[in-house]
Amino acid sequence: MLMDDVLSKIQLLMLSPLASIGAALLLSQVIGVALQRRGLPKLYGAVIAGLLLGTSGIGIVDAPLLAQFQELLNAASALVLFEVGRKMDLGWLCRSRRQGMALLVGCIGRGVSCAAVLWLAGASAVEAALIGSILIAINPVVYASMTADSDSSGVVTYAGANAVGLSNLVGLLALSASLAWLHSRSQDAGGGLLEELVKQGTKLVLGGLIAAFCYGSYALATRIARAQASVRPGILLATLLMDLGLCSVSSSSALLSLLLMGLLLRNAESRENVFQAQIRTGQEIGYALLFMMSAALVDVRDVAGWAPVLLAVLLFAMRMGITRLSLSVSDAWSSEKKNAMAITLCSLASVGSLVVDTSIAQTTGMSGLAASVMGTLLALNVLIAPGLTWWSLRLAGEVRERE
Amino acid sequence: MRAKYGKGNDMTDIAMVAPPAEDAMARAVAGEGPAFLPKFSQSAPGTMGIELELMVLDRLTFDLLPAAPDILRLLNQTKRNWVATPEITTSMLEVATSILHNYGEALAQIEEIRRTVLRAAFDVGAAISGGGAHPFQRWNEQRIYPKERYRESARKYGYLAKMFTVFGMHVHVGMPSADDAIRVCSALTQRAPLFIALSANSPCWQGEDSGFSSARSNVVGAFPMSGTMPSHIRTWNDFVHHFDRLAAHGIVKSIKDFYWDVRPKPEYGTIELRVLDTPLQPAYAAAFASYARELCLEILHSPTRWVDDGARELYTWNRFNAAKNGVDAQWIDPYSGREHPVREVVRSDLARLALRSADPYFGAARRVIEDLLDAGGQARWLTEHIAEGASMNDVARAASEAFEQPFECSLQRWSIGKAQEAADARPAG
Repeated sequence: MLMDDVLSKIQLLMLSPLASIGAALLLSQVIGVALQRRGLPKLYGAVIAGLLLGTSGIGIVDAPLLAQFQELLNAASALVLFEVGRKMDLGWLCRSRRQGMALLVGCIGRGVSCAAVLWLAGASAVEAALIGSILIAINPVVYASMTADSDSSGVVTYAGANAVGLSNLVGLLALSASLAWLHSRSQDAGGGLLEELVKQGTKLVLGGLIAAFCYGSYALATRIARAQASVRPGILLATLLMDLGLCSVSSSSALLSLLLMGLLLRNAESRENVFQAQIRTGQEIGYALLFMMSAALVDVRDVAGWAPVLLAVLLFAMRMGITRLSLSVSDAWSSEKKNAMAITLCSLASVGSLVVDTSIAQTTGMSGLAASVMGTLLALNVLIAPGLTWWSLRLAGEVRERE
Repeated sequence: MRAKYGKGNDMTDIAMVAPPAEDAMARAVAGEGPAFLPKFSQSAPGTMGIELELMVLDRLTFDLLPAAPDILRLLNQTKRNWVATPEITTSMLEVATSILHNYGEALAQIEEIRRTVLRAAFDVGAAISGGGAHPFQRWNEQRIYPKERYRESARKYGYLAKMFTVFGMHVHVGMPSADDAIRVCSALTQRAPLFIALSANSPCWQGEDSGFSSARSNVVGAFPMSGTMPSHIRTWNDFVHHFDRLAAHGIVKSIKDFYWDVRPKPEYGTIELRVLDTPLQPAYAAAFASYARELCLEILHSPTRWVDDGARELYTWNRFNAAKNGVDAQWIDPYSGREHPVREVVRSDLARLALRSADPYFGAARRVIEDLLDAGGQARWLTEHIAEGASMNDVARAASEAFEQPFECSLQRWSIGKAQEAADARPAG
């Protein structure tokens, strides 16, 4: 009788979405720490936990469960992009000319070449444009986790952070245009391409305005309060929440808004550079949670058929090749550093949150081939991108030596 | 073990079969060959050279960034008559001028160095800063430069090698002979605390306000061969015997193992003043170097005065006081035993030297130093930022921004403004 009670309570606990997520996070942390002790990337703890507990494994953490945390996930993704924006040095990107140009050319090159290959492989033009836009962006969670995990710093790490920011900004803009094109072709679309473009553009512009408003509020508040450095992060957090809320009620782009908020903070407010150290631990746990959820959504059984796998591997490798080629524009980095940088920037993002998931597969109008290629790419991303990023930071010689 | 060195024509047997001096010196410095002390080269009296150790910083957090190898790679592609070299950790970059003859030349070349280094650093995404110590770096996070000489230092000195991520300015002044070098070295040592006070700009250490104006000055003292040249050394021959004795025990291998505040540099034919914090604004480096140069020339042309062993404690106290209080410090004259404010001593030196100086630009150097004295020194400029609520990152950023400005910079305007305030506050007449 007593045993039955205990079992029913355990079952109840398993049904609690929060407890399931907590258990998954705990598992990912335990595996991650064990891997780290052996000199391996900690983020693979999240990958293994996600695969074991997710769609590919016993299915405790699946799409319906994660849907219950959608608001939270959206906020987390937007905050990740805030960090991405905060690491973008506009002054350097613009005034360094060749270096900034190399990174921009890499973004455009990745998008255009991937779209062209997909189109040649039989995907429709709109699908190719959509996936091409997504493949512009570099996954900020993979990049930030791996640089933090390796305690890396140096010119590759610095340029990489700028490349992640720039790629996400360009990717967001390109994705908006591609989505407008896709929506204008769907059967239940009310208007044409122009109308859809205006709709997507309005979301972006509104997001930008909200970012400017919230940044202005932050700047005003810190000056009125004459806030010292140590207390400014609290004021910043309040304005970030304001930004998220305003974006939510106005249906504007929270991702762009938070990215721009970070960008403004980094480039207009030179005092603000204390935030990073104070939230580092929380940030690392957040990254692990997001990546574990992404891994949970990957179903390795879907990775089947030689054509999609071959195409996905080709696209994955081509993205690195294009990035490397674009870096040739600049002579500020040595060849070794350029090679390492191209591999460091191999990870990819997704349409919804710019964090890996399979939501693209459910997008209206996505054909079997495109969905299959995208699913394989995302699986590849979860499985090998963290490892490649981790290894390339060592290749660049920017990892702190252990003596 | 017998040290290898050349003694004019009296070469030892070992030295005669030794490889050329430069090679032997390099091998000794790298810890790969036997100890070696080169002959003292002659150089034109009063010529000078300036070495600056610069910080390489992250452009976001203003923490130290291990990007010196990348910057050096770019600098090595440019045509220039000055030198850029690595230092013990990868966040340090050393630059050295060519041989200079006056303040005007020094100022022009320092400005060229500032612009070129800034451009190369910017290209790879780094910032550069002056200053004697980084406000919040952690010594254990520093990386030893991937070069055998530095790895050898890291093995020899343990954690001290990484603690030595401090940034100094060295001034070389040409000497006509080896004996003159020893004589000037000894006399200039007594005035070295004045330069510590004048250049002090490292009030923060490992993330805290140290309460010192030059926290950097305390770091060098941990090395076994730090301090001053022993008072019994009065000729080059005495120095050679001293080197020999230490080399026989394996304590030193080259002149670089002497971390003295002022030391002879035989391969250049100079003496080297090593106590200054790298100035926040490079142009101050030219002014400080000109002051040191004029002092050396004055000593060179004056009757010899030696201090006895009893002056050692006075020197230690003067040094401590200068590092602690900067330009507000007191200085005890080792010859007269009288105590004077550093400000007064430096002003008096500058006025006296101006009368005998052949440098047409020395008056300008004097004005720069006097403005800085009146303003309270560079350390005060940084501590005022902290008092206004700046974080350590902000202090590092302010220092980096000061370096980015040309000579007519905010730091100098602050200095002149403060000097004006001080003048206004003085009673009329």
